Parts: sequence; structure tokens; C-alpha cells
Amino acid sequence: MSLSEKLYAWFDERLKLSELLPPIVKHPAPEKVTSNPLYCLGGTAFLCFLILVLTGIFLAMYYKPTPVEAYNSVKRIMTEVPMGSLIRSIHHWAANTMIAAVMLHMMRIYFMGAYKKPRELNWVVGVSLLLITTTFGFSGYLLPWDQLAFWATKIGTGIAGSVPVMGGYISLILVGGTDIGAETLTRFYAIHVLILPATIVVLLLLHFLMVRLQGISGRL
Amino acid sequence: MEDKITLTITRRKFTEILIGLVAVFFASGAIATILKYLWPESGAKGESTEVMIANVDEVPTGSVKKFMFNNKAAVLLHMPAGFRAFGSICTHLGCIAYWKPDENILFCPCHLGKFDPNTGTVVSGPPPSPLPAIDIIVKEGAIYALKWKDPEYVKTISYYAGAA
Repeated sequence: MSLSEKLYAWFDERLKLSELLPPIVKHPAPEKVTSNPLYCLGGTAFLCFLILVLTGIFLAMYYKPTPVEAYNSVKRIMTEVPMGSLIRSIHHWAANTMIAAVMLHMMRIYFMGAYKKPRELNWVVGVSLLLITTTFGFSGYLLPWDQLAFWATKIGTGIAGSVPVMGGYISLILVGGTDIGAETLTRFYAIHVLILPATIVVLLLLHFLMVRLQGISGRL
Repeated sequence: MEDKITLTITRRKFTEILIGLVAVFFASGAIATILKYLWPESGAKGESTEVMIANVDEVPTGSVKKFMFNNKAAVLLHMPAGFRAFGSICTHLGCIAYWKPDENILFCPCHLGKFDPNTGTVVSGPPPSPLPAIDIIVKEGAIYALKWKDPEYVKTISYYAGAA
């Protein structure tokens, strides 16, 4: 008995691995799915998400969400911290790729008709995930605290403020005042690193659970 | 679809619904608390206060000093005719206008809006209305900003929300 077999047996005896794992891990997909790269788009988006979580955690160790420190801490990450520019660039490009992958994934679902009964609810969850992803992008955009960030947020919160009736209140709570400032920065930071990640994890679980329960839809 | 949807309410169910409504009532208290917490303090601000901008000798004739008035960017100009102060947020789309000495104007770089440095009125470009003037006072060798010359006008400019 090799060492790995021994280890597996030790865990198996205690956690019933050989009984519980195969139905989860050994899940063959149809040939037409495994041979078509279009079916990889959702997985690509999820891979981007995992990369973003990892690089995001590393960025949070140097980033400081205050008006005085924000820009300087980002500059420090880019110029002084060893591998800092690599981590931040990966975060940047994975974010862009994730938006693209999510959009393409949605188009694949739409054009293959994969949203139809019984998968309507998964489409709804998927659209929520698309909105969460774009909100991630919007909130993360402010954090470098440069000119681009400031004016993009000015425009974004302005759009939110133009919603009839509720708009003024929405932008007031979002901005944390009448002007973009320290309050806005900490609010967007909290949204970006606490609220949205918690929400997206729950929705992703639902999304994947439904895929497993309902299977992948056949081609039209 | 052709199945009839029936709704039977027993006394027990009715009581359960009532208890549920009471629970929702108490839960709504928590939501109000959260909203109150998120509501920015600066939302309700009182009268503007006197702020010192600069000493007179800091701003010789033909020079300017930027300052913040009620949390909005503002600019003090020393024109040959005397001191002038304006909110410097452009009334067009909210960029910051600055003093351009060679043309003798307050200039907004975003869409080339030009304002008169003596009165704040629009000289050319897209701004729909003048820059709001700030009342100033010179005492003991220093310049103080007092209040908006026309607070009602400031209230009508969205980029000055909360400043008047």
C-alpha cells in the first residue's frame, strides 16, 4: 500500500469519502459539451473570480481606503512592493476578462435557448450575477482615487441619482454625502470587499447547484 | 394550469399570519436603524459660517487663492477693482474653473466655459448660469468668506447641493 493510498484510507475510514465523493466529482458531461469551447465561458468567468479573490486579498494588505493614502498606497503597490504591479495587473485584467466572459456566457445561454424551462430560475440568478459583477467593477473603479476614478464615480452616482423619486436618496446613501469624498471611498471599499463578495458567493452556489440538479441543456 | 387554486384559512393559520406580521413590524425597526446609520450626516447642514481665506498680503492684485467654502471648491480673486470670491464649480457639468490671467477670465477646462472674474457671469461656452458669488469681508488684514451672496440661487445648481 502506497503512502497516498494509506492517507486516503485513513480519511475514507473517518469521512466516508468513497461513498460521498464519486457522485460529486465523477460527473461525466456529454461529448458535445466537453468538445465545445463555448461551454467553457461560465467556467472561465468562475476562474477569473477565483483569481480576483486571491489577488484582491493580497491588494487589501497594502491598500488604504482614505483620501490621503488611497492613491499613494496604490502607487506604492505599483512601484515599490515586490511583485505588486504584477498582482495589481492580474487583478485588473482578470476583472476585465470576467466581465467579457460573463457577457459571452450569457449570449451562449441566450442563443442556445438554455434559459428555457426548467432553467428559468438559473437565468434569473445568472442575470443577478451579471449585475453583481458589473457593480464589482464600478465599486473597484473608484478605489485608486485618481482623476479617472473620481469622474467615473461622479458620472455613475449621477446616473443613480437620476432615477425618478428614489434617485436622490440612493445617491445620498451611495456617496455618503453630497460630494465624493472620504465617506464615498470607505463605502465603496466596504461594498467592494465585503458586501459584494458575500453576495456573489451565495449566488454562485445557487447557480452551480441548479446546474447540477437540472443538468446542462441539450442543443436546439 | 386548469387546477383551481384554493385558499383555506383556518383560525390557526390566521393567528400564525398575525404573529408573522408582528415579527415583520419589529424587524422593520432594524431596517430603519440601518438606514439611519447609512444616512450621511452632512445631509442636513445649517447656516454657512465665516471662514478665513487668506491674509491680504498673501494675495496681491492679479493673483488668486483657492479655498473650500461649505465643502465646495471656491476661488478668491484680487482684481484691480477689489477682492472677489466665487464658487469655482462650473455650473455646466461640475468641473473646477480656474483663473486664467492671460485672458482675464475664470476658465473651465472641460468644455471651455468662460466666466467674468468680476461678476461671475458667463462670457462664453456652454455654462447655463453664472458662478455663485460669495460675500467676503476684509478685517484686521485678513479676508473672510461670509455666505453665499444668493443662497436661493445656489440651491438651484445641482453641483452645489448641500452647500447652501
